[in-house]
Amino acid sequence: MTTVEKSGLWNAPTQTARRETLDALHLERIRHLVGWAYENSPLHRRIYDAAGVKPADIRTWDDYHHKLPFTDKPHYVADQEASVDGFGGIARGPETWQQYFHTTGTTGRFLNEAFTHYELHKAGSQYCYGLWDHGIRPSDSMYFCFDFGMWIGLWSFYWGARNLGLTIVSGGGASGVERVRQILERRPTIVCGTPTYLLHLAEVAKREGLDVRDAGVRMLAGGGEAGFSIPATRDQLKQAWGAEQVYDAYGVGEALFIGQSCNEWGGGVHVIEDVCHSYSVDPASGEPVTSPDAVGEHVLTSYTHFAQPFIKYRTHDLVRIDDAPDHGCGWTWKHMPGTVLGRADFMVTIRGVNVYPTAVENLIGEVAGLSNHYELHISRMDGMDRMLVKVEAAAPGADGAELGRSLGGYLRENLGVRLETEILSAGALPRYELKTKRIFDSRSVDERPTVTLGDNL
Amino acid sequence: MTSVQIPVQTAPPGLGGLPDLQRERLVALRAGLLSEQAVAVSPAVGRALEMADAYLFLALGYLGHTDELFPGESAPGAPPP
Repeated sequence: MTTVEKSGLWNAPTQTARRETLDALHLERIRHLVGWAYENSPLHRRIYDAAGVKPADIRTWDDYHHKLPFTDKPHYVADQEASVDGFGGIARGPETWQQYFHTTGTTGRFLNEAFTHYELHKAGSQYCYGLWDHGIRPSDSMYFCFDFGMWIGLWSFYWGARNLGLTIVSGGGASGVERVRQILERRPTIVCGTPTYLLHLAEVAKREGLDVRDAGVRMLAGGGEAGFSIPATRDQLKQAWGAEQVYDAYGVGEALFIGQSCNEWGGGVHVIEDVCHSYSVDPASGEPVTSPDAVGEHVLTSYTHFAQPFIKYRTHDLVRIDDAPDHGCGWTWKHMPGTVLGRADFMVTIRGVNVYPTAVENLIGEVAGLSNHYELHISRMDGMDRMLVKVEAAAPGADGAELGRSLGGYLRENLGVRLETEILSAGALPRYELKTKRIFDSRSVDERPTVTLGDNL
Repeated sequence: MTSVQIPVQTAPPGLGGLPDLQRERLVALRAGLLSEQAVAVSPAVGRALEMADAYLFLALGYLGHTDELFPGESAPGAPPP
């Protein structure tokens, strides 16, 4: 084993650097990137010109926070629709692209994404920090149980596997049963998919008289849903697969999986500060949030994207950010406890209490007799937000009324407000191979929370 | 060729010690690599060196290199990274 292979950290020089050093690197990179975008992306030049800002004006963090305008998905979508080639915010031409993708369209519109060869490798590099910390080495292997389509999310995991040097096993084009058999035959170290689909595969195996625990899979990984950060779902996954480790990663469609969990599991993910700058803002004022206990909207600048820069980009995710984590892993990189607490535009206020969908998701998993298959339906009636929680019973023939009372009581006890509940029979909700849609918000745009960011848009 | 407006900074950030020394060696290595790429005797050799540059640049990123943020930043008209 070489010295490098013995190292517990993928890149100790930056992963353990002092906050002042990291912040100096961030500021330098951001200033470069703003200059690059201004000169090469017509979208960014328009946005910065409209704000009366030139790259040379961005010298300090105060400049970044208060002079540089936020960017948002609608900017890119509008530019995409107005462009000849169907891409928004482009700074390098199609002749430089190696591959293109689009986001999942969770928020209603696909955003097309372009990547050069270098950017794909850079995107893949972000996985290596967490996987290496979990003891994954180039002699290990990763099974991908999804079809390689246009969604970047799991593709970027593939680039991560390439970057780390893992043996790749593709489950593309195979049925669930075929995938179970391939996994049992190939015995990969890691199986990659969404939490819902991995639980579904374990069910498929049982129906076939097979047991995925016989495959000796050490780690379950993937993303696309909150499940990998929900304690109850993590336990369910470990039990169903007999896996030692569940790997959590937080992704933003436009900047990829920029959050990765360390082996100490501090209840969330670390920001991969080699690939992005991350901070949060008060949704009303746009001012930076500095307390590690306060919830803010996550805003980031990607160092992976140059063909299509994302700078001071609004994710609409609600997060807590601790910039001095101390849970024993040795990383100095920012940590997001609870990963994503909800979406700024999905936030619900019920009788004066802010209810974050992820808090509800966590609590569902703690009620005995319920499965991990659920949906949250948000609506507005008579000027009041409402949330209906639909959950499948874990077993056929369960007493739905009793389960509903248990769930309603437990949510009230922990959230301080009563939510509506509906217990469904086992298997009633759809299963998805990729991102599972769990939150349905029927409020009109006018009825959703107003996020102004101090009008600095 | 377009130019990038970069505000002047007197003391560029660094990681110090061995990482900075390795970064300096890799910057020199990259200069040699780019020279060879410029005189590549075939498209095959040129493309292989372009890919090598992408990998080398990853290492520079790990070491806190900020003079450029990606291969080709200084010369957008150059061949793709």
